[in-house]
Amino acid sequence: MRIASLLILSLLVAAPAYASDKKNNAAIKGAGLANCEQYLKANEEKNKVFHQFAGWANGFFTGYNIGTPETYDIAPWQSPGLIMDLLVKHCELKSNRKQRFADAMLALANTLHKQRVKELSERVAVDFGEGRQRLFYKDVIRKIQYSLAKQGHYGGPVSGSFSKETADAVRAFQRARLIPETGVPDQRTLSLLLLAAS
Amino acid sequence: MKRTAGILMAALLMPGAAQAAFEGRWALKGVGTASCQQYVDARKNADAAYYQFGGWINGYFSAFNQFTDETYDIAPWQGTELLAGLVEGYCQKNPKQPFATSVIAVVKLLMPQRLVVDTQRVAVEPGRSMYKEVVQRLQYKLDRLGFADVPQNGVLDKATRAAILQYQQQKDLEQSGLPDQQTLFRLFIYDPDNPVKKPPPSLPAARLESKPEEPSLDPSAR
Repeated sequence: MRIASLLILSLLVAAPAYASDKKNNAAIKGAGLANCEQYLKANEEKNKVFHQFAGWANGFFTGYNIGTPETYDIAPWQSPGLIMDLLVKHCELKSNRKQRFADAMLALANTLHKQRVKELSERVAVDFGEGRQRLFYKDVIRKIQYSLAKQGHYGGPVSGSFSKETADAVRAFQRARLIPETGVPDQRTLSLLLLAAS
Repeated sequence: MKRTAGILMAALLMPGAAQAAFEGRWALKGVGTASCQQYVDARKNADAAYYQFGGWINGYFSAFNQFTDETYDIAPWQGTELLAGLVEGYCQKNPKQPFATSVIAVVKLLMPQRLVVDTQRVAVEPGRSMYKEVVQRLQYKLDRLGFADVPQNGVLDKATRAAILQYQQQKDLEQSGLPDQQTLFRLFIYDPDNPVKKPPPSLPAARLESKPEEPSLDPSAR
């Protein structure tokens, strides 16, 4: 199942103005020089080249966090798998096939920039069942609560702690969107709740 | 092999596991939070995780170029293998630190010799080029070391190649007559015969490939 396929296709298409301090001229290294087509091929094969792309994406985002003002984390809740899927979606568009992977990453960063976590935010554990816990920034939990409230699923405080009331609201949102009612902020749910709305 | 790699990657990359409390000023992503020891092991095994680490270095350097003022290229001549070796040097000294910390240490090491603006490329051999400014620096350095008649024109001409060859003979390096990674490392980063600068924590020289790879996507190239 590809989470990203649930998202609007045009999510990453329009990215003319960079929110960050992008320069026109900077040397791109390694896998960033490859184009979208090469990335798609590596993604199909999940080979060593794919791991280079995945590492590149994470290294780039780390550099983005360090180099961009008021940015603690450009991808505060997105799993590495979701990031790679979003890039697949972007690269699959015919008009992007010859785009450099680095530029695809910049476009993705530009899309995510608005919802970045700006400063270090405490992390809270959310119980995903079967002994699994996931850490979430309080800031992200607040965004979840805010978005759920806006859509009429949540009437509690925007507190940043994952209360039972919040879990119930997540479940209500999932029911309304016809996705599995897990009651936890999984990647699919967050993609629909936070990304698609941006 | 594929399965082992998958398990390893899962352990490294599951959100929550590797993201364990690194409370720095910025969030480190992916294998950036892995420990230096994990990096050293992955490099030894050249497994799937190693390709993540290698990609991470290049992605980080690209972002550094992108977001740092007066920086066009932080690593104007260093191939991925050389960079990975330098990172390993720092990592062996600090095995418990996050991998990212060592990459940042290498950036600091390279900062004074970065390329500030884009320059023309000059041909080295078929399919390979380098920045004209790096050739100029090379010529300047050779001239200062006392090699005779080194032109200062930014071109890898016959006289420059001859001087490189002489230098390689003198330093007992592979005599390619070309500005390969070994030669540039000795000239620009550390020369044990002339230890004016503090050496990097561990010298990766033995692992340098004499043929510097273009940032290659071919995993067999390593």
